[in-house]
Amino acid sequence: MSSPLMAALKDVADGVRLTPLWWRLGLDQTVSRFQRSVLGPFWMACNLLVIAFALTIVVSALMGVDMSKSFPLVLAGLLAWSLVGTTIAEAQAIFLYNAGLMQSQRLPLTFYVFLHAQKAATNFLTQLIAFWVVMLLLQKFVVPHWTLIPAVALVLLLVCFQGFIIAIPSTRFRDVAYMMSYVVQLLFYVTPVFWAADNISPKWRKMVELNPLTHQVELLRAPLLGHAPAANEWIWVLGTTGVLALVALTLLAMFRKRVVFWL
Amino acid sequence: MTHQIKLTDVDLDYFVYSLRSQSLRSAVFNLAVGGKMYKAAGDVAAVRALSGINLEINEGDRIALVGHNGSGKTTLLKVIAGIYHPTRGQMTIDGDITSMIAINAGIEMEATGLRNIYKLGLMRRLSRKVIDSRVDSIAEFSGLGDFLHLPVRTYSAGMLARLMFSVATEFEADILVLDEWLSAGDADFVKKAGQRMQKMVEEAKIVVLATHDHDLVRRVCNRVCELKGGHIAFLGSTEDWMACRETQAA
Repeated sequence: MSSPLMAALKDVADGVRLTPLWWRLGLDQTVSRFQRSVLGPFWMACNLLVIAFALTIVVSALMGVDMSKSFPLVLAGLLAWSLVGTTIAEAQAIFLYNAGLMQSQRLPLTFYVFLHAQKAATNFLTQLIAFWVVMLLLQKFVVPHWTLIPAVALVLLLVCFQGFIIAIPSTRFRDVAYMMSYVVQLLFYVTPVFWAADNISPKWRKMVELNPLTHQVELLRAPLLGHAPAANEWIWVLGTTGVLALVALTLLAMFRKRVVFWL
Repeated sequence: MTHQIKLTDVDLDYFVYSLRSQSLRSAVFNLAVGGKMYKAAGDVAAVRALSGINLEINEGDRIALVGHNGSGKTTLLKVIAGIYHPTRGQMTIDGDITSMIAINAGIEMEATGLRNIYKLGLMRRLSRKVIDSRVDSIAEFSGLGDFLHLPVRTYSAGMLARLMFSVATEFEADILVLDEWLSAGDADFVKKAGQRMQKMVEEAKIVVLATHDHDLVRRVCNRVCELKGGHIAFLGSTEDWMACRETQAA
């Protein structure tokens, strides 16, 4: 029983060993995705800004909050969501997108998951630059808290484990792949990304508290807005990462050899 | 270090998902091609693509895999390349493998030929410097000239084969695994390719080549492995194989 697990751990180790390769390939795929466009990855950043403006207007109008106060919150929330939520939707395609490569070259499955995380990180970085530019223009720039760096690192680790858990079943059952985009939409509304958890009645407060995504968003948003996240957030996200790591390794051990036949 | 590939009692089952296995049952009995298809649980069909493969490939071997369509050539290549794990049996490989199995694998159709050379080099884990120093020689061998500055989507199958083969064989590899697309190149290029493979073998490397082109086998390979329905039907030197074919034809 221990040998599939050892093979899974070896898969992960091989993925780590191939860091220079997925690093370069990730950049290459990001560049080629936006080929022939002038703004390139900054289109994603434009998307972020447009949605942030729209949601700020809607939320301020509905809830009667001050727009200048809610805008940084919404913008930082959406930025965090690009790493926390959007990656859930993208994870279904981790193996499907690279089907050609998987059928022609021997690479560990972990390689493709790291590739996915690399692209998510690149995307986050371009949006982060846009975030700071807009905050400077609006004269609302705050120096980020240093915990932003470990927070992003931890969430990226979580994105990797989550990647396995979503990508493996999505490759086998294509319905899961379609379902994920709906799930993410739903999660987006129940997670305090563009609304503040404080405005919620105590009864619903509990639900928000129990949503692990709430804590992931908050872990990133707090340092973006210049203060340290609460210890509670670290515990939640560390705990989630640990659980996901166990599930991911189990799935990897069970289905590692099969995935290529599912493509 | 000596390079070797060794397969012991290797079986490989393909699982084909989400199709009505039931409706395929009748087709199984009059299957003109392929391995044995049998029924697995539920909505999944299983195809025994390889069974009981015992094969030892040693340094200096240029081995040809021959057999009709669906006999398991490409599957065996993919097992050797480490893409498919054997369902049963053991496989050991000593050496670094370069596989060129699908003609458009790793090729970006929108990018130029030149950019694709860099991309393929990148996938081989080569530094930019190394690729820079070899790019001229790849361009020359491929004979594509100015076409290298055009997007690959404008290439013909033969041009693509030239590009892929030139990149595959330019950089040192212990073990080179090639599928039959090589024959998409014209006679001139196939001749050039044969010479280059000869050179690779002189440097004591292993070449595994799947092909239908018996002429190519005779010129390039020193061993032949003939597959029939997922089994090895013949394994021996090229001369023996040619002799065997002649007696069969007579």
